[in-house]
Amino acid sequence: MSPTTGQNNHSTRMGEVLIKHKLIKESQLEQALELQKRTGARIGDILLAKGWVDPLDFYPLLASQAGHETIVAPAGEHEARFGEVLEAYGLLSAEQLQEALELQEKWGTRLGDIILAKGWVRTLDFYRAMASHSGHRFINLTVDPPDAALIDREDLQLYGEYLILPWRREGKDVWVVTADLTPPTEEFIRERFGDGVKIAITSKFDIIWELQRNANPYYSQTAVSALAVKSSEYSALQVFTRRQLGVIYCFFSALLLFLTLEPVIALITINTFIAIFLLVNFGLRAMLAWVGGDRHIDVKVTDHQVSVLKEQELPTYTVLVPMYKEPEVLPILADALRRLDYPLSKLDIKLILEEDDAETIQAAKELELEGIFELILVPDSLPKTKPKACNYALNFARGEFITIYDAEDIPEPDQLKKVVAAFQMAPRNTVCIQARLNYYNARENWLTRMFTLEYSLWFDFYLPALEALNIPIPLGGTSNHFKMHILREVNAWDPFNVTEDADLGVRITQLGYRVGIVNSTTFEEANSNVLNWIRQRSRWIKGYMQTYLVHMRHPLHLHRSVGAIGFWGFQFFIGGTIISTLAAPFLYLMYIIWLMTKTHIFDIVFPPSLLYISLFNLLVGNGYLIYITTLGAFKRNYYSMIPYGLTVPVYWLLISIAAYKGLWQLIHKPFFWEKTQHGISRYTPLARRRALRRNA
Amino acid sequence: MLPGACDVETNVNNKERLSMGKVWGSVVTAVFLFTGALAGPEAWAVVQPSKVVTLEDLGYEKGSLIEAASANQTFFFPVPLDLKISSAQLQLHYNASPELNKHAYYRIYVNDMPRRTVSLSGPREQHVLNLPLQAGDLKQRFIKIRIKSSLPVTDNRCLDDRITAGYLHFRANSGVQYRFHGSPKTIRAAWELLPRKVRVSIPAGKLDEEVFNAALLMGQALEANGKKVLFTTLPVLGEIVIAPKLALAAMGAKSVGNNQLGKGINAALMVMKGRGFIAVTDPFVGSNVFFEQPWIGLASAGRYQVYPVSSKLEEGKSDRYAISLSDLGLDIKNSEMYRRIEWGIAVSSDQFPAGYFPDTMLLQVVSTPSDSETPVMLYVYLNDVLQEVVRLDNNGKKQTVAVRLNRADLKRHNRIRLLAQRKVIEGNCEGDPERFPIQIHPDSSLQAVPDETLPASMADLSNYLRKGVDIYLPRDYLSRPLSVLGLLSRMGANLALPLEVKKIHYFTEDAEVAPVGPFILVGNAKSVFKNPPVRFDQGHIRVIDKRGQVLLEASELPGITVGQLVQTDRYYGLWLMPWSLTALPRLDAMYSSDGDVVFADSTGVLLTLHSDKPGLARIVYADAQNWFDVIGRYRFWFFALGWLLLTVLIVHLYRQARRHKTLGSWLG
Repeated sequence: MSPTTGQNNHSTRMGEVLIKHKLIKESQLEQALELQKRTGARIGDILLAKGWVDPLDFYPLLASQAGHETIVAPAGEHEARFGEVLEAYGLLSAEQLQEALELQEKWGTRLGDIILAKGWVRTLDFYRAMASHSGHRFINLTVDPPDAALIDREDLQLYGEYLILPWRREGKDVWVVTADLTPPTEEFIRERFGDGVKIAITSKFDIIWELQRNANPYYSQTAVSALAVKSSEYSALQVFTRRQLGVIYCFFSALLLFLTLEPVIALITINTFIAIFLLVNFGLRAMLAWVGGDRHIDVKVTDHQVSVLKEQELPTYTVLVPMYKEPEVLPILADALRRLDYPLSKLDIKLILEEDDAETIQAAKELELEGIFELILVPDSLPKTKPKACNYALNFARGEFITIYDAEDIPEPDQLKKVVAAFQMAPRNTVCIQARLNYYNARENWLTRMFTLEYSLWFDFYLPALEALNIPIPLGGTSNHFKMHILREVNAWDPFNVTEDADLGVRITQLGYRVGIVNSTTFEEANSNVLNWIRQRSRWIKGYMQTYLVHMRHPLHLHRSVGAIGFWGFQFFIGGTIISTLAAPFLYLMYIIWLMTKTHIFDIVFPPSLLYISLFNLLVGNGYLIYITTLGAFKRNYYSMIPYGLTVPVYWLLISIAAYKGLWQLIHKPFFWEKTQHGISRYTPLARRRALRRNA
Repeated sequence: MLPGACDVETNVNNKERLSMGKVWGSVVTAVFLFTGALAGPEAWAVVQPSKVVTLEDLGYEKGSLIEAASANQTFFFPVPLDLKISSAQLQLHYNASPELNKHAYYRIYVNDMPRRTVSLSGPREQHVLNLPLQAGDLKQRFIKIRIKSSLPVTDNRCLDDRITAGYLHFRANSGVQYRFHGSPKTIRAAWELLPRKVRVSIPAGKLDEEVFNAALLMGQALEANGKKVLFTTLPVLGEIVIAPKLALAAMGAKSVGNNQLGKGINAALMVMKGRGFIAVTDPFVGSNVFFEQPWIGLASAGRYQVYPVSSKLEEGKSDRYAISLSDLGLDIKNSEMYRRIEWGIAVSSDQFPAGYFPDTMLLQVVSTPSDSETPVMLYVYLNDVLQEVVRLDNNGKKQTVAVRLNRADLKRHNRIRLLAQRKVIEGNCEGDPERFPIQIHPDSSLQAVPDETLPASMADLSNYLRKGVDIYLPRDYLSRPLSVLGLLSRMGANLALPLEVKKIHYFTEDAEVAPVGPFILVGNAKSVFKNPPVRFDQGHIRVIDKRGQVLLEASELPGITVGQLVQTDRYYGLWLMPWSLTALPRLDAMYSSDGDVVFADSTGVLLTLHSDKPGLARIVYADAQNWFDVIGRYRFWFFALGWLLLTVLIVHLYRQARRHKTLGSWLG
């Protein structure tokens, strides 16, 4: 139905009606009429184009003037008719409707979801139109908030999943609002609230915000306590168990005594332990590089396998993006997510922001993001960690699969599809797929180059090899993809562990599940500032220490659950990383002092056989590590970075500095989240401008 | 051919040949200042009426052992000069294996003529043979004694060649005994008659530098001639007296014969109280002269850089010297080989100009052709390390074999063995087996090239110091010369040092010494050395092994002398630090040591080590405290502190764990 008749009289009448309802001013009407004379356009279009009247005020008024209570859709396909309604309201153009219909056929999803995902209609307009179209009452929760007394805490998660919320009781009637008017939702509402329940429509964001507003304490508590309450043995809430403290105390007391009574033998013993440990560690890493270097290990999901996926059958995918004080990278992230080769209407993207991060919240609002982007505001509480925020957002996640991206991440567009394919190909007990990480600003400076070389080795060699050898995989911080129900079953992330990803990877393996690696890369921003890098790395190593302590509470159980290879792999890959980074400065120092002064003071703790092992470690072991560091560059075709591989010992020294900082924090501030500042790369402004331009 | 060259076709103990060069050098070495004949000595009571030159004097300290079935061994005994020999006899003390059969014998050739054949059969092992020598045998400078032996134990000659059941050992005391008429008339004759142990008398009290220097040079010359030198102070009379003319006159010593001491004459035979001696007096020139060709070069080699006439720069190769192998004693006569034949020579780096070392051996060889299945193989050994194996051409022509000597295998005194061998396919074991001629020609030579390497061990010092050396001595030693002269004399001889009077410096104890070239420093001086291996300013010195056990407590053994290789910015040198010189250290083993530090006392080198390779032993300073010592001393306090800190840490973590154990702290 046309918004105007095209006749002046009718226009004047409609204009008067609008003035009468105080929706426009007389001067605006005069200007609109003047424009109508010149252009011949309809008065309604002019008023709407000028933005002088809200469409949702305008259309109901227009309908009532025409004698309709609501705009009645023609008989036939319901969704198509809703599209027509939106078109009739002028909310959607014919071309957009046509495109939406085509996408609906392609993606196999609801038209409304597509329209919202595309951002063609403002969310509030959309839901008002939907209410109008479906004959339901529309309730704006920001104006008419729900009655908190009706909200049942036990059902909060279901509210989030079904996007419903009990609103108010009016007389005998209980009103429930929903943003997802589907038969299952209606069935659930009636099951929960009785057949006499009244259903109204509201915006999904209003539901989420109201849920948060009313149930924040619950969500916060769940986010923090779920793992600690249900599986306390896996929680890092307690950094050291009593038994661990006892063992540590006895061990170091004995060591001190040993050092006092037989200092030379004790030092030789310590030296021997370190030398042999490092030797085995080198051996493990050599084996990992060997296994990871197998060319077949890279062929996981082919382009062909991705291309044969049917988009109609693709599941809903939740993408969590925890952010904190990173407004500058938000456009880059949004742009990267928009470019994901995945049906937008099946994306459930949660931008997880801290309540006190007004800067990023404001930036997100100003971006006017499409409906696929949901803002989740995490209330300010301790521990203020990324896993807690993710746990919090998990309450609102609706996907079958879920993944996490950092704010500065740029995943390869086909990553989600590759993961879906990988899950289809993988054994049933594979519940997590880790994508590879690398850096888009690799050549920015020496640090970013080294970081890139390290990541190339880590994700292109080590992790695939760990997967192949069935050794627990310490997941990388982002781009790990889970089956949603398993993630919830294992109580998601440990909010007290500052490398919650690594911990989750080991925990998953311990629980009998598998973690896989997919041949898709997410490009991140490599830390280009040394101090910022040390903050980040100290957190990682502290988290490794937490992870090691948590999973070594019951070594026999760990051994039984992951097998001998997994157990020893864990000891040397996680434990080895910790010990080698802590021991390295002393070993370097000894070597440098010896080299410069030819002193013999160390001779006493280096009997010949030990000296040979230590020299082997120093020269051959480290030489080999330098070599395999450059291998990553070969694999990624970063040939210009190969010479930088020779400087990796300096990088190891930085890691050691970070390790000692991490150790210090483990003792004093175990749950403190050293925030890594993103967006400091010199490429960031350029990427931001490009993203904004593309979005515009 | 030079005397001393070994005509050997046996596995005779080559080690003993090492010192041969030294021996024949000693026999002809220089004496003092002039060689004029002395007229009419009335008394020379000190000289001995007879003299025995033994195998030991020739350098065969353990005698000569023959184990091969057939062998030739040649000895050159020097004939004393300027003395009337009344009689001489060859006296052989030998042991022969009782396993030898009836055909075993040895034959003595005197100056290449057979003089006696001695059967070796019989059960007795020890024998003595006296063979009188004739006047005609003594006309040459040397008596050539060649012993050809055949030591079969069975009639099967094939077997004989491969077993060593028989042996013949000429003991070290074998030699030639001379008896003389009258007294020596020349200094050279007196020098010849010097006993093996020579006493050198010097004035008592503080010496003038020039007297000290003269005594040092004399001591070195005597030691270099194989004498054992004992310095004494006047009025004790030694065989040699070094003193100013005034002192000699005051003693009542009188010259013998025509060479009265006077202006410009500074050596003479003198007598006092019926005892004769060689007097060396002022002006103390401090240098030697030569007295006879062709030994001039060898006699003065180290001092004047004059070399054997056969040692010459290679034509067109200005940096390369060559010495004929025959001059080095290689048998260049035609030899006959049955299965194998061996040649040996001893080569000392002293035989080359200072700063050169043997690099390549060029052999000109002719061997009898053999079929291709049994080629003649030539094996070249340097100090028992196989350097090269060469398959000789099978055409019977003269061929050149160049063998590069490995620098690392070279020592100061080297032994080179050449072994030619061929496989005999068949032979008549009952008869005399067929033999094949083979000869190394006289134009074979040893080439030497400049040695620019810097000393890394004591063994390298001789080569380095031979280019010229400064000696630094505390002036205090002039007051107690006996404590150091013997040591330095022996060192000068052992290292073949080119001692020069003008390069002997005296310094006040603890003064700073800054060497201006290669040097030897004795005593305590302010160290200007870079990182000396042993520091004397760190207190008590202790040598410990790799397990920390004490090998040596240096300061608890007052008779110990520490020798170390040190360096300044530009030069290397030897620093000897004697704690006390009451008992002179014996440093003989030091000169061939691979270490850069030695600890020695009067019994010899106690310990040698290399400071850069402290695998077996290393030096620590017991009084010096480093952080490790301090920690060790207070380790129980450190333990207490460490344990306290550990406890505090654990308590802290425990309390933290208790606090976090309840979620309440997080959830409020």
